[in-house]
Amino acid sequence: MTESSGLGSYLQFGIVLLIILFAVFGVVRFGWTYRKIKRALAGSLAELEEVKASEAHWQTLPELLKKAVLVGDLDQSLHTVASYLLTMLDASSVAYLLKTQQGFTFKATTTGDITQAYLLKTKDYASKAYTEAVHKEDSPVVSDDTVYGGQVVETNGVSDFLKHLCVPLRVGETTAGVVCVFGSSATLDSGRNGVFITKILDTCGALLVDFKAVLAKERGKVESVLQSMDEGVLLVDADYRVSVINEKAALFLQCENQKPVTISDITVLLKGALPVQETVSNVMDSGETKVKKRIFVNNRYLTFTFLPVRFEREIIGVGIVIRNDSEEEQLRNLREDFTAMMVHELRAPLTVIRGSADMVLKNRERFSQQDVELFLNQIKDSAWGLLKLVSDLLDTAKIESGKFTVTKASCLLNKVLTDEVASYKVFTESKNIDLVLDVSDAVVQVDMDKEKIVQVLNNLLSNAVKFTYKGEITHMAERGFIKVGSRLQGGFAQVFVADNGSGIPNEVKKQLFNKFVQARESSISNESGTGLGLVIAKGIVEAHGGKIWVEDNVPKGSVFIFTLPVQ
Amino acid sequence: MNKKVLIVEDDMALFNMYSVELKLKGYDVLSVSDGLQALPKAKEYQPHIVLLDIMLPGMNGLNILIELKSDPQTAEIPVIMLTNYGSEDNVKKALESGAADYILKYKILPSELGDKINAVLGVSSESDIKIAT
Repeated sequence: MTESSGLGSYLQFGIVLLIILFAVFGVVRFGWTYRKIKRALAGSLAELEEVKASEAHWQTLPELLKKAVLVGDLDQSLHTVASYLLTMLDASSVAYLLKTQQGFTFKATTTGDITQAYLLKTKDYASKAYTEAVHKEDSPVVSDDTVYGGQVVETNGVSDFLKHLCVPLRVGETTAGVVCVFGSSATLDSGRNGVFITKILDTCGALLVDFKAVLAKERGKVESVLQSMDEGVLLVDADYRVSVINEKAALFLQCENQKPVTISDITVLLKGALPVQETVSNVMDSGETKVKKRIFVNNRYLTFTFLPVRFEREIIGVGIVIRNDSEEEQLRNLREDFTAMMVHELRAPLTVIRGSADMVLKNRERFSQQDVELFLNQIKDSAWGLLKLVSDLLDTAKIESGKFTVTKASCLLNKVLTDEVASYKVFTESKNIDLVLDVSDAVVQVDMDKEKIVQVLNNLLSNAVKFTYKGEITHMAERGFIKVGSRLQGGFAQVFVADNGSGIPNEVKKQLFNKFVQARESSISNESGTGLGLVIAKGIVEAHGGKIWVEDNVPKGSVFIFTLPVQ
Repeated sequence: MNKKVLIVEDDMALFNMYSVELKLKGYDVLSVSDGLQALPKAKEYQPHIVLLDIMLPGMNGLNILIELKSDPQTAEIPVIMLTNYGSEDNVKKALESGAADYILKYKILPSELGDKINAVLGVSSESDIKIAT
């Protein structure tokens, strides 16, 4: 019994030992697991914090990218992205390879100086990544490279990296380039970083596509505004190239078929009328707007305004706005001509009055009675001419200000015409002009201001005599012919004065009743007279509710027609 | 022999003034009122001096001046512009084209015209010209 109890004791001891062993193991195991869990938890927490931090960055990234992309320049956008990635990832450099019009450009942003070998290696990786991304065999030829954040040095620079991660940048359907991160951190090329960079670049690409669309739309808007402008617009960039020219500018410069490319082309088109290059360069340097007025180019008076075009604070070009001042200039010239003509018309009778009076005074003893009468009559006639001129000016001023009035009474229009023709007969016969009356019986009573209508008839008849007489001199074989008449048409009495004189050119016809026209025409034709007669005639007829115009007479000469409403 | 003056003027009142005055001063006065007739008349009569208006029917006085100065038969005849148009352009154009003087009508009295003509013709005083009786 003792043996069996002894064996039982061993068993009990063994079981207790096992229990103890298990217990110890359990405790150790528990501690190990606990630490592991704790470590894992801590790692997860840190990772969580890191993710949170990166998410915070991620939230600010779209704004950052928008700002970068809105510059409208992919290169600038990628530079911002590269700087951002360098602060986010444990990398020694972030670089991008970008396809440009000239070839490929490579730009690296580093945390410090790098060696040439480092730079070559990064370029090599970026090139290979691009080749893979576009599924081509040839590596891109990098035309230029730039390093930001440090310098390329012989020694004492980061010379190598162990890890790299390259992600292609797609803008719309095309691969615009690749962005690569280089460094020696174990996690640099992790999938998580890959996803992170891809997300950024996708956003960047999408924004650029959007931006290009917006830009195209805005460009379209600006383009349509530019083309619909009455002013000519040209934009000259800092390299003196013409980057924009609208249709009006092309019209003013007469270069619709061959648009100017450089500022020298504009100088040629302006035929030296304006020192364009000098002015543009002046504006570029000073930043001040320059205006060149009344430059005569291609039969137009143009005003050129040169404006500095700024981006941020820098002057990046000069805008040239061309305004056509021809009409204004023409009106100004007409006014000047009118004033000169009016001064002449006032001076002539005054010169006669002063000179004639002086002659009579100085030669009282020498002059015969006939001489004295001649000069006194000249004084009287000139004074009368002056009074008439003053009345004309007053009438014109009244018409222009809308204060011209007529006093109408019922009249037999045909009788007025008959009397008028009779009074002119002697005058026209002395000039070998046949004056004929041709009135219609349909025209009877007309409400009108007789005195004023006679004034209109006098003006039309004296003009007809003047131009017919002149015509007769030019065409000696022909006899002058003037016909005055009336007819009834559409509720209006029509009065016409037709002649077979020299006629009126079409361009003059349109403006014949304009105040300033006689001045211009007289300088061409050398005919004297103020031309106010027709302006007043128009005012009188319109005050009656009628119209006045001129047509070609058949076979030659002109016919002036005016209408008066019939009751 | 009296000196001959050709007056190219279309304003009859002004012409009367100048012609009576110059006749009193002893000149023979010839007249033309149409610009186109000025050159033929000058060629025909060979006046000692021409008084030329600017605003004329037929042809502008400045163009007549150019014609007179470019025709060998009339080129040597002194021409005085006698006008009421005093624009600087006209004065410059006339003097450049060979006008001997440019006189504004409203500035002088007919009695002063003789002195102006004498100055151009290089005549020292009125006594050099035979006074018409």
